[in-house]
Amino acid sequence: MRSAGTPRAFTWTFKSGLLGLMVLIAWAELLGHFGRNTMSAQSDARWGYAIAFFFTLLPFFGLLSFRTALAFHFFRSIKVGVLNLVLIGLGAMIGVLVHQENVDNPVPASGVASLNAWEEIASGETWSYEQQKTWFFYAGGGGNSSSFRNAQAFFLYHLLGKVGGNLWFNLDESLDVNQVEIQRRLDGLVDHIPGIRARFGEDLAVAIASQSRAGLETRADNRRISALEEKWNDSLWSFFVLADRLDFIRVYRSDWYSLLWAVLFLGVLSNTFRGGWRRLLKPGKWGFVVTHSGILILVTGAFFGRMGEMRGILNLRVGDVGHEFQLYALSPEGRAQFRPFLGDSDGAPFALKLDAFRADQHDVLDVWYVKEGADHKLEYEFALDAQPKERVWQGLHLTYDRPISDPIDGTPALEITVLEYFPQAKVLSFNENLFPQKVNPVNAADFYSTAFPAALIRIQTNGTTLQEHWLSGDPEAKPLPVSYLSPAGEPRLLYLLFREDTSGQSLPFEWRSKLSVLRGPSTAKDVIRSGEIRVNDYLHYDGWRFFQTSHDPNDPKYSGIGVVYDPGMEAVLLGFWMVMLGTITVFLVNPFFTRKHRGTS
Amino acid sequence: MDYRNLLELTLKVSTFGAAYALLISILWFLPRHNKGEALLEKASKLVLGFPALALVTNLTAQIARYFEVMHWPAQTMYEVIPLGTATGFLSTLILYAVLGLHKQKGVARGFADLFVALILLGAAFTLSYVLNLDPTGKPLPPALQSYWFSTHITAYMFGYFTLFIATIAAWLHFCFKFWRGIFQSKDYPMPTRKFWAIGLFALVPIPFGMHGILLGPGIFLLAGFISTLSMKTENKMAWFDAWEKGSDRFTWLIFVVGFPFLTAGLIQGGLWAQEAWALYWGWDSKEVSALISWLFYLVYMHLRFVAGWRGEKGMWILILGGLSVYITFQLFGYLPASQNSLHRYTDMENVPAQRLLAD
Repeated sequence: MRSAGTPRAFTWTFKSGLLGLMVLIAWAELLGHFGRNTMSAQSDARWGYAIAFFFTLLPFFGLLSFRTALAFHFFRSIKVGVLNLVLIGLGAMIGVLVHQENVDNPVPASGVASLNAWEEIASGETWSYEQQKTWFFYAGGGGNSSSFRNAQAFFLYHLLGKVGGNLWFNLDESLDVNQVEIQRRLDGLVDHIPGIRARFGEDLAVAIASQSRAGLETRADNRRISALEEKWNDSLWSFFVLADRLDFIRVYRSDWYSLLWAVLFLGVLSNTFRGGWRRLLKPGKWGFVVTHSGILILVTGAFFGRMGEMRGILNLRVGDVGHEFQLYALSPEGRAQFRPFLGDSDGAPFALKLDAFRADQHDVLDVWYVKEGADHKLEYEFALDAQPKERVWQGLHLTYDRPISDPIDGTPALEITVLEYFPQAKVLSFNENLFPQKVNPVNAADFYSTAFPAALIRIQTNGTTLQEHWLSGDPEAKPLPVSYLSPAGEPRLLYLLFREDTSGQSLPFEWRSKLSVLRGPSTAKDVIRSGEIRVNDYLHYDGWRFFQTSHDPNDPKYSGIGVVYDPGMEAVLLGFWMVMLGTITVFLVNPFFTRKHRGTS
Repeated sequence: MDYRNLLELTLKVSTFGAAYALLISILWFLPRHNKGEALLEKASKLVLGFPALALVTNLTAQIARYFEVMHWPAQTMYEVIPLGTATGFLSTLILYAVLGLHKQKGVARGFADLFVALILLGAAFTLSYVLNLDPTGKPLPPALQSYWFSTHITAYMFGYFTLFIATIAAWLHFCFKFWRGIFQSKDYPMPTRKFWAIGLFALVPIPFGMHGILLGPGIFLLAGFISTLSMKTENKMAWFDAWEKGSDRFTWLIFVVGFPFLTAGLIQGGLWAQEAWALYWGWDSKEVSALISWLFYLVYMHLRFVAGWRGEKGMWILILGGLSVYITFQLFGYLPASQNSLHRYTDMENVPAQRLLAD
């Protein structure tokens, strides 16, 4: 019980807590400002900033020394904690509502101010590097979807378009999204869709209709957004300047947002272990303790990660050895930066060698229906922008050409079944028409073999005729012609071409690299670790992570290897698991044992 | 049957089930004799059969789609949304047991049937929307070829759709409260601020499209219709007292079922990103959007526990949380920061078939 002489502890309410957090935010901003300038300013100004930094820091120590209980109760207050969560959420909302700068290539500190000054004095001088970089982030190359101006105009266009649209935009009438015109153009599909549905199935027919409508509307929208970018340029620039000053374009790296996470850490720390350790041993508390401890570990790991992480890329060709990698972050002058590999355990340098690499493209079957054109040349039967292509796997069953009167359930005139499929195979012999006759699969374990894919297919036409053919992705193999009669008795001709999809329209199926870690001179005997990396499966060595990140369609020997050094990673991962398992324990496991839930009244 | 046919079948089951459940529900609110009550009780037992049947057809559709595209069917919206409706049907069955809806009698049972009817109606709307989306099956890009792809998205879908159900339950409460305030204004006067807040919120979701219209004015007017019918009975809207007393527990338990899955989805995303890019959290706008939704529910939970925000205060947060989840799930592509997101796999390239269009 509190004795009569003990002063009553201050109780933090929502209002006082919010005020406290706001003061802390302002304090963090000041501290960050003076701290950074102390480090970067010229010698004369540096002292001024250092003194300002010291006096900004002073109240913090004063509070801890003379009003310890007030500060402690602040962090322990659940109301402050909830307010803090709300502010973290608001910060995150700003982060998604304002286009964010690239953390590796940020807007230069002086860029916005110098551009403003340049405009005010109407200077005729060419722009500095900082000014060009700032403007590029703001406006891009015009209609650039990754620019600040376009992103904000895009958002406002769609937001305001829902509530009044044209009243806000007041754009030239010629830019209106003319639904009548779009519908008129889409009406052109009416003649083609039934034939496509009967020949290729419902999905392709729906896809063409859906993509055409969305595509026409999107293009009309994009024209209006570009016009709005120009029309609202002054307002958007003012907003950009404000967003830069308040760090809204770099929310997640701002001092005020970091402070909120620090308050979260201290709040969770001071609440999780209150009431003595015996309380924490109760089975009903385990979920709570695991979850909150997980958050503490996670935030700690993230802090150490932020302090010491390095991220970059190592560009290698097969056989190359790399001793250093390029950081993603550019120098303030915009130059590439390089770092050597230094082991975590002994600080000794090491190198990485690319032993093998291959990008495995998707294997596709082109289905080209053709007809004789006006000049007796063969041309595509359907005026599709892209002819249908099918991905292939063993057991795949494809059907084509149903009666136009019953395009869903009618009997197909052509059926193709993939009986065997080898991702890599060698054609042993071709017949006189250059169709493969004998095919040998490559050992499935040899991912790095450059052999082409092959498939044995069965073709059934008009319900009876059966043929089996080998198809190969070997460029020497010719497309296979198939002819049959349509359900209405008309002759049909199509070509089947099996190939690796190297069009570049989609990413490869997967890519892998074989790596060796070398110590000392680059010889085979210095290999101390070997491993294979692919997307979702990296190589871990002495604090470093190497993962598959890119390839070059024009250079099959090149592999882009992502490099990450993050000293807080393990702690963060442990924290993740603890939060997930702790939450599941609290909400899904505990109720089964307690037969009631704490939250229910 | 292929995926599309099975989705159409699920749509029919949902539509018919919604109509049936709505009819039974309305009958519960009308005056009836003992014999009628017994008959209605029997008819009411059939209601749960519809989400169960819809779950079977929807799951069969997902299996069929797996064999059509040869990967977990969760890459495009044409695949993800039906995965969500399947988890929604599953969640309905779980909630039915957790909330003890099968034990309810009288008007309370009618309320349970109305609840199921709205979920089925929502699913029917959703599936009819899906059937107009681009159905093209696409191969998985390398980053999505991971075991996390199935667990991460499925956990999210279960969390999302369960929390949508919580939003519907909370909103239903406010709608009935509004109409009782109108019809029985002398006995149950409603503060002007709340009156306007509910009325305004009925309009707020309209810009969200078809789902917004169903959620906002749709449920609002349906509650008005049922309240009008209820006012013709002897006890008028006396049943609302019992509902009001239990509404906090009702919505809380739905939250309890959904929140762990939302958390699991969020965390698995971090674990997966760490394997794919050695970057567990990149402040990508989709990640942040999901974090915002999670924070809404975190605030709801902590305010309930420590600040006594039970009842309607908490239910408002559940409604806002539902909107936040909807923005993350469906409207994320419109956010300014989404332009550079790594999470745009589900966006289809909308290229018009120029050569087939009229000049």
